[in-house]
Amino acid sequence: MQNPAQPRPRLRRLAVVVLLVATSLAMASVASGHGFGTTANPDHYIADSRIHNWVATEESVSVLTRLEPLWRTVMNGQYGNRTDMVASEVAYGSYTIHTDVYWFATTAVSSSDALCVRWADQNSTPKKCNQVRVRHPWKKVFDGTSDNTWKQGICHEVGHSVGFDDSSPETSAGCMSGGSNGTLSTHEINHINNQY
Amino acid sequence: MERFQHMKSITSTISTKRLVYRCGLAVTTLVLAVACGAVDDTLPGATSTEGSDDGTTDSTLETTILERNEEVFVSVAEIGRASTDVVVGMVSHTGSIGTPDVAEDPHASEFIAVTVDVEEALKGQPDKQVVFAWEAYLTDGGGKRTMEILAEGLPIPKVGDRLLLFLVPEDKERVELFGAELTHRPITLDGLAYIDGSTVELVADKFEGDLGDSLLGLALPAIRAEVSR
Repeated sequence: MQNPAQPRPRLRRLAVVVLLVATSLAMASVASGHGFGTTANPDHYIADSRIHNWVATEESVSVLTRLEPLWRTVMNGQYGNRTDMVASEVAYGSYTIHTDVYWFATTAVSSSDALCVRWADQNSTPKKCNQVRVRHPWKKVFDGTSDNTWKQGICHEVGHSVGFDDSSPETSAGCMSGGSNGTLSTHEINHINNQY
Repeated sequence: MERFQHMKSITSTISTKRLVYRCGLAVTTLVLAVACGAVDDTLPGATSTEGSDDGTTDSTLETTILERNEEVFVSVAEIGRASTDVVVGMVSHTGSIGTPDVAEDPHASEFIAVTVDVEEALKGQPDKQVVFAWEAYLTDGGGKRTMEILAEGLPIPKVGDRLLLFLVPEDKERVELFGAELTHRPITLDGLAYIDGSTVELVADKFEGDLGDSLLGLALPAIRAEVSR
């Protein structure tokens, strides 16, 4: 005698099939290319929230003059306007431990880089990062490197701060895959919006 | 051993093979350290930080992975052509060379100088030793170490490690910045690989299909042949 409270086996199988199809469809748009977030890459950290504020801790006026407008273009034009994230600039000199991203240029590095300097939650999967540091090579600030190359570099490093790793490049190149002008691809935007 | 167990919990993107190697490397290093004593101290001319400056890892520290946007090489021959020197050698000394960015960085990184005794030059004619800077720790800006940095997953080099290095001369500006006698730097993070015996066993963890994956498991004779092409 079957318990009427339990779903019938055929219906249960149907429900499982529907669930699998729905899951596949949901993942299809972000499955290839980058590793990002809970489903595609739980090993790389993500930001602790969709609100992503940033500040320059750079002290050189000439560096600020060169790079700050490009940071604004990328943060507002790409992450702020084209994704579900909220990009917000913190007034210069107002760095706090709650600032999500800070940046400066230094002679100590020869390429731009990013790393999480403070964890919000190390036990979650993926881990959540409270604050990311982005550095740019001082030498390149004044060597004629083009705006588009800088925007690509900024977009790429900020991409790490929201959750992208350097996994297999996608076909349609955005800034995480070496796109040349600091633009997020639709694929990358889908990753971000699925996470936040 | 703790060093590698600690990293394993953090760098789960790194392949099992790499982690197995790390454990083996840790045992080897422990034996070497007991046999020889870890000979680490601050280099002449370098600034020191508070506490230990021996460049060895501290398993009590949290770790974080540095991701660097740098030139991508697609073959051993290509990175070999771009390097001025390609060497195999053993780390004989590490020492802190300070935290150069304290004015602008609340988490200023502490760098160490890594001295490698050259066993074989696959390209170039380097001196018997090469010395390069390695970013090792985040600090609180006051010299206290707060996190251990794994550069694209690579552990901090320590005495007894055998390395394959694709090198270029260190920039004059960085030599001045650190105030240490740095001779070279790895051309990219793919330019530093850990060797076990005569085989590459640990490389930077970038993306699938990059040069690091090609290097992994490659024997030195094959690398020598590629570099000399």
